Amino acid sequence: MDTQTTLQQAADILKPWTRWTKNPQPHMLTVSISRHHLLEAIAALIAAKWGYLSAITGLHQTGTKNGIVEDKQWERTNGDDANIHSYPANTGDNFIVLYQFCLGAGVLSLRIHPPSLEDASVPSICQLIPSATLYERELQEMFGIQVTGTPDNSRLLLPDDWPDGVYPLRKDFTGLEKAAEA
Amino acid sequence: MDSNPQRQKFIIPIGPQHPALKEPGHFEFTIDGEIVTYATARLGYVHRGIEKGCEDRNWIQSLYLLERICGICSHVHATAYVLGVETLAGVTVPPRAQAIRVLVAELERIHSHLLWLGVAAHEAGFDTLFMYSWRDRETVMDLLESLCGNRVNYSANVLGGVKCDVTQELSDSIRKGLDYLEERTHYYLKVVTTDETFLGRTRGVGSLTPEQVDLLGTVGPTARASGLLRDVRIDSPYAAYPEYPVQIVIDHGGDLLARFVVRLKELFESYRVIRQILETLPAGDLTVRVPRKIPEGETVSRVEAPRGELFYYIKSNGSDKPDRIKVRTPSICNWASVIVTAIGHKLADMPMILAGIDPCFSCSDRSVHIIRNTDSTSETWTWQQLRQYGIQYYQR
Repeated sequence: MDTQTTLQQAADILKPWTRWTKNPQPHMLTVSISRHHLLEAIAALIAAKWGYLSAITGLHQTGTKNGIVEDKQWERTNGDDANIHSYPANTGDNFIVLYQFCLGAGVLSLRIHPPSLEDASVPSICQLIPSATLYERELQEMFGIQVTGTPDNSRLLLPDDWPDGVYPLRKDFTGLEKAAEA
Repeated sequence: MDSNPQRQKFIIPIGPQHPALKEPGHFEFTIDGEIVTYATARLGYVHRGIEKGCEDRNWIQSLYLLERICGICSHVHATAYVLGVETLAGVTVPPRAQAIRVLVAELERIHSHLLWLGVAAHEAGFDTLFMYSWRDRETVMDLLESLCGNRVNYSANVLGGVKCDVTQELSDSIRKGLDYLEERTHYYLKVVTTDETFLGRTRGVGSLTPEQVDLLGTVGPTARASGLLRDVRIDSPYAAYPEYPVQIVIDHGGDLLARFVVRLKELFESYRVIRQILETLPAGDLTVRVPRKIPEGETVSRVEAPRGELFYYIKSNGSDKPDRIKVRTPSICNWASVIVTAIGHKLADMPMILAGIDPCFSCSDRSVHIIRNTDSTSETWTWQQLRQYGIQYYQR
């Protein structure tokens, strides 16, 4: 089965929850969904035996690129679905969480865009994919994105004496000394 | 921590050393008598913040940083990165360079699998096999050194190609080395499948069903030993693998024995592919020019490391530095499978189950802590003691 067919299958499976899609590369499909539909969407992928969870990637970005404009567009036309909070009026900081599934050469990214840095929680997917616990712990401590209901909240990667509330993969983190001053 | 009901049992922390990844592992096994009832991991003892570090370095500097994530499979890290960056830059690398990338990758696989064979044999108490396999591994280390100039961190890749070439003389010495290694691999395959003592430690131990493997996202030889067709070289051929296809090696045993068989049989595939590359190496340039600033975009680059799928997410904002690089190493998937499958196994099997996923335990001689909460006593074991415990358990 070629990659385009594989990705089309994924697009069909995810249709009920899809906000918008794009193909960053020919072998990749990004599907933007609401965090409230994440578990349903992943359950549908598992039921259809579409691939396996390869990684959970967190992004911290500024500006309107990489789908922020599409998100706002969608929000304007579809209104509040109890998920979409009003995004900050400025085009400031945004978190993106990508749940990346692989099948053959195809890479599917379920793209979650939490409303703001303060309300940046995503639901845990461990009830569906138990091994995601390590990825979720990494996401929590590197970005401070709360993973609601994840079975283990203990430190995974950072040292025991790492200060609370300092998240190294956020763009504004430039070193522990600077973080202590702030 | 103390409110955890799991603490009513014995808790055996193991680790924290695992130098192959950016995350060495520390594990806590909760045991009821001899049987493991719960397992959890604490990683990060040598977390060096390489993902963050890349955001502050240019695209070329990041290559050398990423290559140092792993001392054993440095070439696959560099390959995953350069393939992704070349995709974003829209450049086409000369075929000769792509073939040399595959050549080095397969030599690296041979070195990694032989290293693992030795480590796993050592954990089982079979030190003769350990010494033999590490002696033979020197053959491939010498070949890698003569090709790239280094025994580890080969730095064969540059953005847009490779920096080392294969001469006729080198090609002859690689062929000679492979002939020797192939003969030895036949011998090792015979030993691990016929030695009754060794089979006692591997047959039926640490079994994973294909369904479990699929759900856990297990990758590499560990997945293929459970009969799952999962190999990035075949699923998503990269570099020169479309021209030099590999045959997938699988086994349906699902246990440790199957993992030995799969890795050893994979070596024969590596020998075959390397010989084919040496015979039909395309002529031409080694590099193509890659711009200093990489156009905006994002890509996922996957390669088959010796331990399984290595996943790179690379995002550029159009500047001379990466905006985000996410690395998901194969061992982290396989650690997750250990955490789940350890449950129900004997403590004495833990060294072999851990070694079975090839986590490269070269620095594992560190403390193992046994907490005995029922009567408030605790003792500390070294990895050495746990290994001895496993060996002695099976001597009884």
